[in-house]
Amino acid sequence: MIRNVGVIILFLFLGYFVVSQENIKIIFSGIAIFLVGMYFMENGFKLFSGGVLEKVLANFTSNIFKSITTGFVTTTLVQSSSLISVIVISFLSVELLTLAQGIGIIFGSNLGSTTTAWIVSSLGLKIKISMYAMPMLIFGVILKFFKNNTYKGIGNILLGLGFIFLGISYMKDGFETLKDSIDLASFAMTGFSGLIVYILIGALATIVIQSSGATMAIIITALSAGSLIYINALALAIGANIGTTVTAIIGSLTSNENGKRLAFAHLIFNVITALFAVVFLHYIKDFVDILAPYFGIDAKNYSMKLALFHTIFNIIGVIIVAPFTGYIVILSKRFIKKKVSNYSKPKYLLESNLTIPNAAILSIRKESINLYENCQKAILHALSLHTSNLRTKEDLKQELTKDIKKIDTNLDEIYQENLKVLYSEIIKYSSFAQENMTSSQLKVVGNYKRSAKEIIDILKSTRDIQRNVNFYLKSKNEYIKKEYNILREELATILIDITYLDNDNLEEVDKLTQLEIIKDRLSQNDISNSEKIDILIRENKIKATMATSLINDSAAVYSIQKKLVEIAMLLFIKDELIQEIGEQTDASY
Amino acid sequence: MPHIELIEKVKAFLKQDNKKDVKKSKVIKILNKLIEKKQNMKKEIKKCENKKEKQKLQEKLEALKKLIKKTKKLI
Repeated sequence: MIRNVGVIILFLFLGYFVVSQENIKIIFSGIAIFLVGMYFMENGFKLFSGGVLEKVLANFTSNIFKSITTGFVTTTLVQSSSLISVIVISFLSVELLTLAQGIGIIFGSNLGSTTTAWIVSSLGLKIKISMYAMPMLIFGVILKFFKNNTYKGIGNILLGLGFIFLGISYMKDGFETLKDSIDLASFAMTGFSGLIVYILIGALATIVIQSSGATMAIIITALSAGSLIYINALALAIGANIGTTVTAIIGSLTSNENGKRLAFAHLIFNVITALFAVVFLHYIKDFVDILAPYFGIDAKNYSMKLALFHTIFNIIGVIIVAPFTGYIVILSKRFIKKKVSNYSKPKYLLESNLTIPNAAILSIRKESINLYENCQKAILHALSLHTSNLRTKEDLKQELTKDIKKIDTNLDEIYQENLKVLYSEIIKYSSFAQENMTSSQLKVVGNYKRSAKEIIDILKSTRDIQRNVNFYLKSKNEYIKKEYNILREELATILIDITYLDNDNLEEVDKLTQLEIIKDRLSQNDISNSEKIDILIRENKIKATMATSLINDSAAVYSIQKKLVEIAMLLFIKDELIQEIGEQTDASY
Repeated sequence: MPHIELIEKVKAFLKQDNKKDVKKSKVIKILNKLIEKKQNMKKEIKKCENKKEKQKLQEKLEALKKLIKKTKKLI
């Protein structure tokens, strides 16, 4: 309630201020148009890149230097460090990047965001930028009407650039005319108190606008119009760097622990860089004065000198902090611990990934694997097998020689209270994610949905055989007991074999070969099982009622095993063609 | 048939043909890999002295042979 009233009062105040002050209206319109431009640019690159941006970020990060360079280049191209942060957080959440790689990209991205200041100070102020804005807007709108995503993306980028240029032009005009009515420079503050006040203003402005690029554009246009003095502008730039960290922290609140760790690393980087810049402000300022002529910057061109200052102090930040990336990773893991989540809660379905198709696909795959792992654990418990030490077939052999201790597992309860929730979340998330996908991406998601459904099916089938397994394992008839133990072993063996396939370092062809071996073994087992049952009946070693139970349960186990092979194929083999080879019919299967 | 419709049909046909070619070359690449693995497996079986290990390798060889057959079906 108080919050709503506060917002209304703020809007009324802002409305009055904007209506009564013509210059302020122009400046604020400029900021608004600039932000709209950044929004279009971000969306444009998402559509235009068609996954290229994500591929670059995922593949060119093998060492810290490469990560920083990739972060720098991509942010310079996209002109949005927040878009890069969103992608990095989404990749961290699905473990496509390590935290150290992510931190490297963010350092580079911070450096890349300094190019906005160069664009504004060189292009934005020197030439009549609005002249270029109009054609961009016209062509941007035309391209936006195309159905093709690439054209639509280019349209959005042009619209974005057009609005950014127009926004800068408005801000510039606003500050120039404002100078005639109010002399903002008279509010200038020097000394340490001035430094702190302006750092705070810079940080606050960035938190409110949610874009350090926009804050830098305001600072540079105000500086060029003479509404700001140079030393205060430097402090504002330092503040903008701190403010952008708060934006990242707010953004990370909805992400998992890796997103939070990345925001923490970002905070450490920006605080250390800002502290360094504050302590050595005058030295850096002098250094900028020395360097400026080498870049062809006039001694009185404070806007470009500010851009140079912004770049230099961020480069220094990277040089100081990057060698300690390993320590930052350790520190962030110590401060932000992984939550032990209830297994009905999705671990990888992050909302932030929904609009990035490739990241969404990875989220769905990871969550389906999570569903499978939970289901596998429940099945093994239902077969009275302890999972804590069950990793290899040797472990299984040992486990089977031990006396059977029934584990109290209610598969119905596990399904209703946990796995059904997880399954529903996967289906819901996939439906939303599919909105932004191409036909081939839709097919991949369709396969993951199918695998999730089959996982649930095998859980239900196991529930159906669980009662008989537990009943006959206690039977005094050694023959039926032995047969049910074999069924138990067969089911556990295939689960162990499939776990081995959940390894990204294993070649896809090798995974397929392994699945082919499993298929072969399944059909052999099926034949020998039915032959054995016939012999047991003929030799009167088991009763007819036992035989019918065994026939039904053997068939159910065989069907579960076949479904498990299919699930493994869908979840662990990514290449569609290799999947297709695996799905080719084989007379023996 | 109007020209535009004809051009669209030819375009679609060419596109489909191109897709088929790309798929074919990919299948051949996988087939080569499988054949290479099969030959390596044969050599390994010859070298192997452990009976159990030999049986496992034999199973793998059989699986590779089946996969080669399945892959050939796609060409």
